[in-house]
Amino acid sequence: MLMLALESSAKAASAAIFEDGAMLGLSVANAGLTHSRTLLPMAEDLLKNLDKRITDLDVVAVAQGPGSFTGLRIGLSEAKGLCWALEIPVIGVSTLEAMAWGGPDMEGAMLCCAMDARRSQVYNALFTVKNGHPQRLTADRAISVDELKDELKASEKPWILLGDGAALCYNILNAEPGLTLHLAPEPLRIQSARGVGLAAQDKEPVPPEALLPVYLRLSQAERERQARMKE
Amino acid sequence: MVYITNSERETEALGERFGSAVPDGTVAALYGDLGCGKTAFVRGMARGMGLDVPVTSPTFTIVNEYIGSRQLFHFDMYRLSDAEELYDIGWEDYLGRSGVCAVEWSENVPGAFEGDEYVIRFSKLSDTRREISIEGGPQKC
Amino acid sequence: MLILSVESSCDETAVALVEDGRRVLTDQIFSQVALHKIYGGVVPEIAARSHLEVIVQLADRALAEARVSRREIDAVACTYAPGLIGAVLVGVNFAKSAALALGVPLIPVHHIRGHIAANYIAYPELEPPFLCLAISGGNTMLVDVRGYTDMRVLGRTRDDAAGECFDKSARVMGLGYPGGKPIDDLSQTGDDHRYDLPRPYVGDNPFDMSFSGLKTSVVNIVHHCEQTGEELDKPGLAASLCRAVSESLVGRTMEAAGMLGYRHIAVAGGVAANSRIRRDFRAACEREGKTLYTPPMRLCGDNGAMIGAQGYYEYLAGTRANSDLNAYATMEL
Repeated sequence: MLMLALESSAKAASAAIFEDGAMLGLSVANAGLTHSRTLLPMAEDLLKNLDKRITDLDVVAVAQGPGSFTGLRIGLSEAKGLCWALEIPVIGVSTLEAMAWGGPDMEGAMLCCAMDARRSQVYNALFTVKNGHPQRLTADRAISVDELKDELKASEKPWILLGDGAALCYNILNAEPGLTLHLAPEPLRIQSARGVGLAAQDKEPVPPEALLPVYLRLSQAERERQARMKE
Repeated sequence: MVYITNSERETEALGERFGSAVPDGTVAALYGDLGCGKTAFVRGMARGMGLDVPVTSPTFTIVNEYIGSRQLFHFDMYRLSDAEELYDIGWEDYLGRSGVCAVEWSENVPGAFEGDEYVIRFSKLSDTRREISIEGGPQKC
Repeated sequence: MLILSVESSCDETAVALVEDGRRVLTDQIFSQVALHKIYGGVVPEIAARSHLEVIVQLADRALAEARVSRREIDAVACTYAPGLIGAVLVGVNFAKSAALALGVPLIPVHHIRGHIAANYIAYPELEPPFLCLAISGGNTMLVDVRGYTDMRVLGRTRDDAAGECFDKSARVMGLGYPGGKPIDDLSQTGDDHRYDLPRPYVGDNPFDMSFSGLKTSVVNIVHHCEQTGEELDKPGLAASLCRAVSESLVGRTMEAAGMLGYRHIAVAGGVAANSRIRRDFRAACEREGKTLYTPPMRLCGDNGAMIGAQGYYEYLAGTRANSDLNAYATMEL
């Protein structure tokens, strides 16, 4: 089973090739160029350097969101284009879950995945490592760092911070009594296609038209408030 | 601050002064009805930012990007029906691009702004005279 | 040569299959495809610009309707500029991935070149050189089409597009949106000299145009009537507006045609549907012995077929892109 994994939700773009669950190659571009210029060429080069043809692919896995609107659109459109042309299915993976899979895997570790969502909020999900892989403690959500603080404190355990929002959370919460925080080691802190490929291993593939972005936008309450304002 | 302009050219000149004074990351929310001079003001902003490019109405395109030594993103929310559509057009990504955002028909997208935007209101005093008020901006102590 | 073409520059998503640049096998335009055909059941709410949500379905429908298999696709063409960046990116990245996977060339197409190329589909005998007035919702441009891939912009609007002038005037007059048709209908019974609307002089480029002053005049007239209680002669205002817009557009075009010696004049874009503009163009062309080309409505709005048509000629000219093709919000013609 040959899989191409794509990640384009944040500043760095990356592509990886997995064969039967083992990663054959990984490419990361983090020079501030738009993913539209870097992502597909990385995938193309990886295939060539690993002596695989694009027609050998059985499935494409891609980070679905949350994250940068533009970045996600690029990754998702490319996944759809590839899968449509090759007539293969696609697997959409939560950006935060992929982040957890790419992070530290010590048994019992508590992982806090955070991405800067502007407006003093972070996209966030919490995980714990069990039997070598991350298990979800919360759904993906956009919350304030303040609300996150209360949840982290409630667990009474030390937390490992991942994602581009990790430093933000660390700076705000580090001095908080009753809270022990560690920044994940640099190479493991940011999401990548490696995490996407790992997270995708036991997920159900779907036809490409069913793949949708997950932006984690306005909360339902906010939507309702605005609908009332319009009337 | 409230200003009175007596012609389109004066509205552009006001926009030019504004554009040359504001830093990257500025968001200017423009409010006002048809024909009040919003686009003329933005045309001036571009000039004030040193951008020598034609500034046209983004009503159909939704966003016009003027890129030079600085970047001006000119939005027109006239055709958007709600703030949710903002995501479809990549609003959040534009905010993160260290340019200046000028938004016409801000009335259509409540909730788009974060509280540190300039609020610029246009009203017609006569066929050629306009009253333009400029308030807000990043909170100062 | 069969080209799969993808268009997603602003409001529409479209996927078409075009043979040899002129023969359209299918053109799947999202807004015109009944949603139930795509979803075959309960339809979720989809915004106009949900390109990502529908592009695969449109591509599938294109193959099915044209009864063509993926293997028969010789190249993939896509709009890469100008447009709403979030929209263009979807088409570009879908297209270039599909091209890579199919192992066929990728052809980037400029959206307005596509509008001009809509004429090749409507008129198989039309070939460059000709003069083209492109008047769609967001564009008002006079183009010297010297060759299929050799174009020069002679003039453009300095502010509002002509179509926008109609839309905004319609809005202030209390008519519907889009405003082109209601204004056109109203104008039929109006006196086109009822109101005196300005003919703006633009300045350094004689072929440039301006419509925001017209719009402002309409706004002022309406407000005056509201304030003084004088009755607004809506048909008269509509007719006067159509005459003013038409005189600008037709006037500049015929002047350019005369100056450059063009015998063939094409009009592309939705605004070409306006009856006054069509009438004035027909009369002017007859008077001056020019041939007029105006495509049918379905080819005037954004569509995939026009991208397939232009894509073919770009292919012949050697225009290619690689897997690093980017999308651009702005791009000179």
